[in-house]
Amino acid sequence: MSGLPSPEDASLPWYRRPVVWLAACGLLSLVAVAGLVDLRTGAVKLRLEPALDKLLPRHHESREAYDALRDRFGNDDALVLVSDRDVFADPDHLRDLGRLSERLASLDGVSRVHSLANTPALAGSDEDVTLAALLAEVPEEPGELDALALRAARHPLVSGRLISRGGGRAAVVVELEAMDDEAFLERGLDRMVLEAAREEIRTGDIWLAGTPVVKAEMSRILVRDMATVIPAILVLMTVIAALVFRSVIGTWAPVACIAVAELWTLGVMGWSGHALNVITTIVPPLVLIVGFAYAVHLLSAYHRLEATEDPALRAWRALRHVAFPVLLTGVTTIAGFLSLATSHLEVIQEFGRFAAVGVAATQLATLLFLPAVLGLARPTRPTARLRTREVFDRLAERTGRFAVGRRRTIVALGLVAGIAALALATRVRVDTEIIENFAPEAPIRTSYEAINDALDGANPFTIAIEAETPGAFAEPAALRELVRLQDWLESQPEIGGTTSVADHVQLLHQAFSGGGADALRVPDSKALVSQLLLVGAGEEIDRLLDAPHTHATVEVRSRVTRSAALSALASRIERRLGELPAGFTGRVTGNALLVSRAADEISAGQVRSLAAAFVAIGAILCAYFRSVGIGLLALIPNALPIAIYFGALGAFGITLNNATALMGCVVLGIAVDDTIHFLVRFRRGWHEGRSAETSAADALMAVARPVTITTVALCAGLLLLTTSDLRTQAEFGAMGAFALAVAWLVDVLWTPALCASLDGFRREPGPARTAEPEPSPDPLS
Amino acid sequence: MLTRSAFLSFFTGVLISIGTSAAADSVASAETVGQCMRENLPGQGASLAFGLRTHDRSGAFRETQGQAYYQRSTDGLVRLLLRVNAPDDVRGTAILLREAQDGEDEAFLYLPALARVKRLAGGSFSGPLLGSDFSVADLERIGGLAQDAQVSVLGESSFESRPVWVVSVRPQRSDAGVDRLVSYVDRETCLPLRTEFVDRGERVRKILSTPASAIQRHAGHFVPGEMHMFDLLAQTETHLVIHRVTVDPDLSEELFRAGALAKGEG
Repeated sequence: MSGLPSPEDASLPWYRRPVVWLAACGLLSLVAVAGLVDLRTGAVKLRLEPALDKLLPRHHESREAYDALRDRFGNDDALVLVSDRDVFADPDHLRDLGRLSERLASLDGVSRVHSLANTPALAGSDEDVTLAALLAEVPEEPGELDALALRAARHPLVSGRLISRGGGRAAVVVELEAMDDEAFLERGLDRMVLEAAREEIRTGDIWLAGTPVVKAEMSRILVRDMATVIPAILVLMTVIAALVFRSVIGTWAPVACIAVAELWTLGVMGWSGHALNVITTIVPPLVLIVGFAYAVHLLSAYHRLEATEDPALRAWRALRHVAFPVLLTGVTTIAGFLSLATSHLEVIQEFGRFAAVGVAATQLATLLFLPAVLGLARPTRPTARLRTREVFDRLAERTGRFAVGRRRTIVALGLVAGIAALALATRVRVDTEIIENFAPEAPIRTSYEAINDALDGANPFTIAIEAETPGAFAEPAALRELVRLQDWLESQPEIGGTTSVADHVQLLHQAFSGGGADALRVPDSKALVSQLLLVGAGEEIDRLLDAPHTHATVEVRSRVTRSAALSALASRIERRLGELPAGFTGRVTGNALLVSRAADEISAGQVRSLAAAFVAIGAILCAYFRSVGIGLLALIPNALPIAIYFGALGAFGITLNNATALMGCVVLGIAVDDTIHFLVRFRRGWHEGRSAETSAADALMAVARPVTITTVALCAGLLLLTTSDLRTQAEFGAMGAFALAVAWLVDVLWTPALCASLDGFRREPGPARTAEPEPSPDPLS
Repeated sequence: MLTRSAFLSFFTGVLISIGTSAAADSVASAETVGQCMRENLPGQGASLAFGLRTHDRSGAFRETQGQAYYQRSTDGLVRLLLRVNAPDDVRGTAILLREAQDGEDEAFLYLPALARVKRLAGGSFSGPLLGSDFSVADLERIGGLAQDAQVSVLGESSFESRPVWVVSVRPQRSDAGVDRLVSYVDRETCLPLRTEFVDRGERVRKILSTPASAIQRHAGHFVPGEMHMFDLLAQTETHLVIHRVTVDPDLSEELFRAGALAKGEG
């Protein structure tokens, strides 16, 4: 290529003004910064909101039921703190518990605290009724301590809830004021509670669990991941760029390009008021990884061009080479992400939208910022042909020969692998592990498991029951129905215990009837129930029964930690609720259940999104190739790695969760780029009259190097996500890298073999429609 | 444990409210305000009808109506009886609080459906009063406005366009839930128009308000016709309506005997 401007170059003189374009990029970056940071206060505007429950759409029936429950009975978010020492072994332990309870109650953000220190004993004799707390006075003598332990163990509202069954591990339940997750995180309430506990209870292990703790910890990990993974990706891409391009400009320019694209993407998020959630936190690293591939294409073209005295001209020519393929592959990737907009979950739509914005930003940076930077670079000597390129070429040639020569075997093996993968994919379970998402040794997980073992369960949820008739729950029959329901619930293996207003009424009845064991039952008279509720009313009952006695709740303490198990249990309970007498309806709800349902909804909705992605990308390919046949042909090599991806999930027992489910669309959007590069080449050769075998081998020869380099960069970037302390993030990275590696293998082996088999389908030999515009040759070849 | 002052405070709290029209000195001091409020208390006793409307956080509510009787006996001990008249299911339910010479105050509860009088043993009666947002402890603390030594006047201000003293009182028995009260005492009627219950974390946990427009005058005393207690943490509220107030009525000693609780049923 000549170092002089061609007439075509000269017709577009704007390339000569890289400073102008750089200034435009700078302006865009300033706008993005203004979206990210409040320029007056310096505060970061882009927030992190890890709440899984908010992943459900606002008008989803589960969400509405949960909101209605909270409106009526208050916030159900609570922290559970358990000390592993025997609280009845020493009076000082009991005093510590009392002091801790009082201290926690005074913490800002804490609504109420429940422990032995303030739970009413609800005992009675012929003369007296004791409403005072179990721990109203700390016993000093061993016999008194034993008696207190026995009373606590026999107290149905204490055993398994505030004291471990068969042991003396004491729990403190800390109810929270209504606050969003961000406020909880800012206050660091979980850490304050733990700190207070460690100061008041100086010996033994202290465990803390509860949905707010899980969400806060998840949020902290996500922030930490973002703070480490993003710089790590930038370093990794710098290293890859240095190895590939062996030049200063080739090393930092693509990294600067993706950094700018990242800034623009985050700026759009900031301006839109979006708060990064557990799903959209994947977007920033994804933008860096995907964007690097586009930058590599331009840099490769730049390096392959003869160095000229006019760097701007060289940059312009490189741009002219890559603009079309970058745009086309970008459009298909964007289509893959936008297909997620078919999800009825707002958070998935947001992920799709922002990932698409990110891809668009990387394209803009590649086509605008990068040429401008290169245009300002000092003239360099022509880049020497690298040894690696020669190695690549030799390998590509051998691979091409192998693929063409054994095409039938390879195609057959691919099909068998695809069918086997589909069979294995049927074993994939939709299941999100909330606690298992953390590392086995993570304190939050060990605490959760310890509390799950010590108490009736660390994963509570609620059953809300509504009566048609006002005051219905003052009727003994209704309370007995609650008791029957609780008996059934407690017979389920996943449930450790339950509490309802019926428990309180029975205890009050026993206390006011002399304390006899036979009086621990629902009274026979409505008047007595009403009177007991009147004199026994308190915070505990207010959480279980509304003022007109028309809505009641049953608190369920379950030990299930996985969304699938929780959903299955909830379905079983819903069926049981269908057996309630006429005039009563019930449904299962609660924060933990909402989290599980949100995760499952995300996973289950991906089948629809993936189908939409296939349709959208297929339509783009058919339009580009002006052939339905080739358009569909281009889809087949991409269906195979996706089938293998889902098959691998089934084979390795990896669940389809809110992270792994997204990968289908992501892989399709990214992997189809390489197929397009190959098919563009193949189609040109085939239409020029060469045999399918030759065209396939030539096409592979042309694209093997760029496809391999970008795949290595993508996989390496995704593998960085495996350093996350969250299992779903790590799985997203590992399985994404696996899927893209498979896609690469398919593109260099199976796709050439498939295309080499197409000679029998040629309608007429010779050149094809010459009027059809051809894309620019791949610059990396 | 109910104490002597608790009894006094309790009644001061419930009835508070009965105040003289003695013009308060504009030079505020704790003694001035305390004196003004102490003079609100009836000499020998009082009776009144009350209505409690308790709203849960969704706005749904239940109502309870009853009669309250207060008597200071010849030996200076205070007795208080609350008897529920409606709704029918709970009609006759009664709570009797009796101050004792030895400081061991007594509380009795009568449930008509069981036809038994039970002594509330083992300590305080700090739970919700008849399922409302009021508790005996709250009322005791309000009573402390008039009786506690630890009252301090924070200043003079206006509330609902009425001149008030802003008073802070640290109850004799504070806890994590309520550490101190801040009250806006109407200078004209000596009634607290608004009282904030502040916890140790300096959070306002509850607010008790008395609409100035509902203040009535009976036999030379000001009576709050309504009181509203808001529990800011639970997001619940209770409206207390007071009417048919009789100051220093002729109340029988028998009325305040535990064994006689059943007799008043109906």
